[in-house]
Amino acid sequence: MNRKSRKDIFLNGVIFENPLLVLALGVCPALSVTVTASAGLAMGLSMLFVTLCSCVMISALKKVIPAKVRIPCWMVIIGTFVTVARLIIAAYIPALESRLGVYLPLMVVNCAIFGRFESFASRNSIVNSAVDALGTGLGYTLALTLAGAVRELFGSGTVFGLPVSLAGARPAVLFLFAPGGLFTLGMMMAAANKLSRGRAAQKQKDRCMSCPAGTVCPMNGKGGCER
Amino acid sequence: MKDFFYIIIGAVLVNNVVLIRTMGVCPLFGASGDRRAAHGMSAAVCLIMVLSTAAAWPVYRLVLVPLGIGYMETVVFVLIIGGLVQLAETAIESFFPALREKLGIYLPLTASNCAVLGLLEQNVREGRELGYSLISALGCGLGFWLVMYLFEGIKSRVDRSDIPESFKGMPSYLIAAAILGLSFMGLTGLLDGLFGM
Repeated sequence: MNRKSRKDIFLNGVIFENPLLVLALGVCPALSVTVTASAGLAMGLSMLFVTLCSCVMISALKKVIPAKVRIPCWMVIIGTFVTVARLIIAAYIPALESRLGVYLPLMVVNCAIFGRFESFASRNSIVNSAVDALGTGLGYTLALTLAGAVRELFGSGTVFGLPVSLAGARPAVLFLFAPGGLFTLGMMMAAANKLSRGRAAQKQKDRCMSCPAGTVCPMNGKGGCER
Repeated sequence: MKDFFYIIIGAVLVNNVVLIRTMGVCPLFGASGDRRAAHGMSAAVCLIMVLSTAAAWPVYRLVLVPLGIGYMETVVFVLIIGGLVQLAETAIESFFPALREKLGIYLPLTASNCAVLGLLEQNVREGRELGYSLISALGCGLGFWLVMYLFEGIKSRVDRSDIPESFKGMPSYLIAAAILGLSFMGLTGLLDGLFGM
């Protein structure tokens, strides 16, 4: 593949098929850890690391892993890199490890990462898979940081720890809890929908192929989950 | 008995796995296409949560910790869940074929549900004993079931209402779930009131 199409793969992951805002995959970490912009950024960067390493590994092993047992094999590979990431974070930034808590190991079953295995890494070359993983990871990081910034701004009146004036309004603590996360993400997805002139909603309809359960899901072939 | 209800009510209403701890959110917007699917999915999650807790607790305490490889729990738990899902599916096919349509077809979806893995991780992190882990697994599953059932009704109403084009689908579901989550947050003080603890 030439340079142009690698750029396309990268931009596809960051913008046109942003895993969170366009494909609506990997919603759970976006609701829980994004209480501050820096927590969202940290979670996004850990996801970027895990996605990159496991996509390269899976692309390298695509001829070795039999199609029938691919999902358990992928889970072991991604589980290994998640453990690596967690041990590194626990060693160097222990405060972050306790902050991300149980959501760090939950990356193993994150459908935003699994989607890349199923739809890209298992059928493309190593370099292209790495580019795709970088793009997707960066897109996810940007979306998580944005969600974190919005919640931090309205919830505690700061962004990245710096105080921001809310024009006299008091911060709404609700934004720091789960309902605030659901509300923020809903608003962000509506904005993505508006900006892409409805293309995001269309992409969500045929996302079965990027869902880890897509091949066994009873909703597959019936118009997907979003009927 | 008091402890049993304390844990169950705490897990179902106060610390609800989906709306308060935001794990296993995907099936809320996905699999609950109709009421039967919502019940089938929830029953499968409930079953796998209890079974995998019963299997993972001894493996962690009696194998991983004595060997000093407690940090490998994520990989081991994922494999335990995957194996149990496969076993449960085969068992239902051969012993209760009547349940296949109602429950069996939803079992594979639970293997990639983060609520199940999240529960096992939570049990380990908080150092829960086996009995406590099993009861909270049941409570966690029932909490998932309640939210799936409630949201199934809300979802069908949202689908039929006249909302702006950009909000149709996922955005409207997320905002509806936020409002449902708000009502669950109102139950925060419930345990103190009921048990005086």
